Amino acid sequence: MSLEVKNIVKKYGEKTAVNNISFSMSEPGVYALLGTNGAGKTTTIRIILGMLSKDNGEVLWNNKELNVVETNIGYLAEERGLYPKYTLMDQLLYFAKLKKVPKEEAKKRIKYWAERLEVEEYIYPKAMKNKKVKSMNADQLSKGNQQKIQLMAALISDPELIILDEPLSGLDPVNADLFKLIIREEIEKEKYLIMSSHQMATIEEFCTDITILNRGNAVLSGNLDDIKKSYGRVNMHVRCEENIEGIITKFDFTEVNKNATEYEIKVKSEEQAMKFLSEIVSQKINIIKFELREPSLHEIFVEKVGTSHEE
Amino acid sequence: MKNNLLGLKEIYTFTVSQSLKAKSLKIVTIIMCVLALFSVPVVSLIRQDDKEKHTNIKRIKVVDLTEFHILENMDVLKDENLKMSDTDELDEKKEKNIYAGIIYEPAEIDFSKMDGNTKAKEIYTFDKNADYVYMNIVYLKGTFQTEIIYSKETKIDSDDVDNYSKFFETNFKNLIIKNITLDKKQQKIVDSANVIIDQKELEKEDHSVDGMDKSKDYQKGKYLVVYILVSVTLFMLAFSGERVGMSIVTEKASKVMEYLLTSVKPMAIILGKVFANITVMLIQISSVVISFIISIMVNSVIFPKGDGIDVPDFMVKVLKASNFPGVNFYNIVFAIIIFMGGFLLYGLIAGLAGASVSKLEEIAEGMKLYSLVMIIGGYISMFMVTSNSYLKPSVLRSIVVIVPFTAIYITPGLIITGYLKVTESLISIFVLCICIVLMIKFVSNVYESMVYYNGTPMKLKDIINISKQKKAGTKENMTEVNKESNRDVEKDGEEGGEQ
Repeated sequence: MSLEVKNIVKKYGEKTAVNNISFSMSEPGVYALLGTNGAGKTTTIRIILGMLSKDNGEVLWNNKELNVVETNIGYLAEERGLYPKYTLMDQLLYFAKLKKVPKEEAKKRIKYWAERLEVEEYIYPKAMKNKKVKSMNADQLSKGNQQKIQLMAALISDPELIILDEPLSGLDPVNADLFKLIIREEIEKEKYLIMSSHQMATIEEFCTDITILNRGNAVLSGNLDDIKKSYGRVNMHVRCEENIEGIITKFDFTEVNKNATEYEIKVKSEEQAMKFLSEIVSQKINIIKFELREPSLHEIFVEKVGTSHEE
Repeated sequence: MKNNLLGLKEIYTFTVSQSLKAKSLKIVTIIMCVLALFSVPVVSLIRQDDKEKHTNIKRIKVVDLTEFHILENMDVLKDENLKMSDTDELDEKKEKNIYAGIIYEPAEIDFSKMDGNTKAKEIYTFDKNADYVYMNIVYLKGTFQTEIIYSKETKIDSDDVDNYSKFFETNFKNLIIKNITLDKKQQKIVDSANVIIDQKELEKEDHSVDGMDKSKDYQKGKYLVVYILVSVTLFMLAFSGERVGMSIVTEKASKVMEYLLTSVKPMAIILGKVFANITVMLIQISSVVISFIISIMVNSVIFPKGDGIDVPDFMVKVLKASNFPGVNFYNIVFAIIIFMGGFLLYGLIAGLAGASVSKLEEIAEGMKLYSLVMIIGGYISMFMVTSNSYLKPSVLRSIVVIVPFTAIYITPGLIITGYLKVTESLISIFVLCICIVLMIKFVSNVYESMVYYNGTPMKLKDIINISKQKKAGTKENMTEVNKESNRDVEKDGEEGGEQ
């Protein structure tokens, strides 16, 4: 299986919402779409899902134009949606039916996911005094629990392609961990996932490949490890017992920041960092911490979109 | 196209089942059913004191144009034991024949002096104290057609004539077999002896009389059929349209639409909802009709007149066979096609209206266009009926019968009452089919853009603009409306917050 997004373009009048975005997934895994608010992530996702028409480009699934109705796709939208006045069971069965899941199988899966996501008490409320109790309505649930029901709806058809738009937004840390666990399991099942998120740590945790969008344009795209390697280990964190400001001024660093306890220095090359370390050692200064690492995704993201976003 | 309709069945069944589970629908339906259930017995109870029948008809001037010597045998109707109506029985409860004393005499009318310009009041004369009515009887195409002419300026009113008509109809067979030696052919005629009775109220205005041409008569029963169908259709369209619009906007407002669109195409959603809401409406109407039938049966038990079911007088007037000369298999199919097709057309408009707004509280604003079309169509049809313009072929009638927005109201009624020719019905169906196809094309063109619309309610010109742009493919030249309509697409990206 493979997913290929080729040169998709979406325009609204003179404004280009998505400009020539391309990426592909030839193996199972998680592809991340990153970007600031309004960068075009959700528009890209909606184009992939065929909800929005595109002005140019193509979306291929197994080398054929992706047909949403025929492909088993799970989608967790950023704007969560459930029928407020219908019971959870009815809604989930309906969503399963739309995905062609047989009723009995759907019931089994609902039971499974209700247990996994800890929402059994809402879908299967306990009977009071032998009276049959209906499953709760969506508007009786908290926002977080509604989000769990939405995730159930997205996964109920055991989809081959899963698209998660900001899956962790609005969740408390416990539930966020629960969602992460489920996402990890889906990755282990060799599913194809596309995820959009503002949480860089989450992206780094799951994603192998990324595209950073800025104002509809892809400003960076590729394998996350390769991107990081291409930057080199230029982030140096130093903490010493004595003042090293004099030594720092001798070097022509790209950027120097000092927080309460340590220096965060952007070096030009690993050699420059090694020379700096040698200088400290030669002056017999006690080093508490010395770290030289690749930039984090957060740093790359800020570097790529920060400046233009501020304009 | 097939791809566009995948999932329609699921959308349909879910919408129907959830609608039927809704408390509001249950409550409204129960109230309507209870009202229908009590209606007939309550009316009977109120009218019970007034039940003693009497008649002001003392004489009937008969024009017998049959070969059955009916006038000579009218004495048969003077038997005091005759049934007053089909529901009467020959037992103690039976009403006495109040028409036993009526004198039947030949009407002195010289038909040879009549022409197309002869006024009705010149033929049928009444003075203020007249205690008589005229009765014309002909035998045409295997049916005895009887016309009773009375004047509202006399003390004989329409109820009196109604009751007599019922009595005459009930005892008609006895009348024609009296003193007749029947051969095989005559026996056949008697066995199939149905009488159609029309009542004609002579008004102050002149009526032209063209011999016994019944097509020019004012037929109250048929009028009621057409009038009731127009009124019921108006009610059903208002009810179903609002349901479709609400259903669409609820899905937009609750953002479920986005999830649905990963499994089905917008066209399947809108058609599924339209069909589902028509079904729900038909279920509701059927419940009320069934309650009404039960009410009639209960009434027959509480206030028995005989051993059968006593159908209220006004229903007898509406349902009698003579009101439906156009009823045959093809005409029924034509009428159903126009009726259901019209609902589909209106449903598609209601779906667009629902998609043109983003919030539930804006639905009234969005439904303005739908309500306008529906009311204009309904009022034009109502005008056609109340002004009797539907009786004669005319340009106006042709337009109203063919244009789908008015055809749904009036055409099925005119078909079953026999006012419409087959060719007119077929033209109406043809135009309706074209309109539905065009509307489906239009809806599929704009609906995708509209389901994501999030802003102030769209106007008709905005919707047309979207369609034009889609058609022309001028994507670079999208108007402000489309920019607005897609603003929420951008907005969703902005709403996510970094944690």
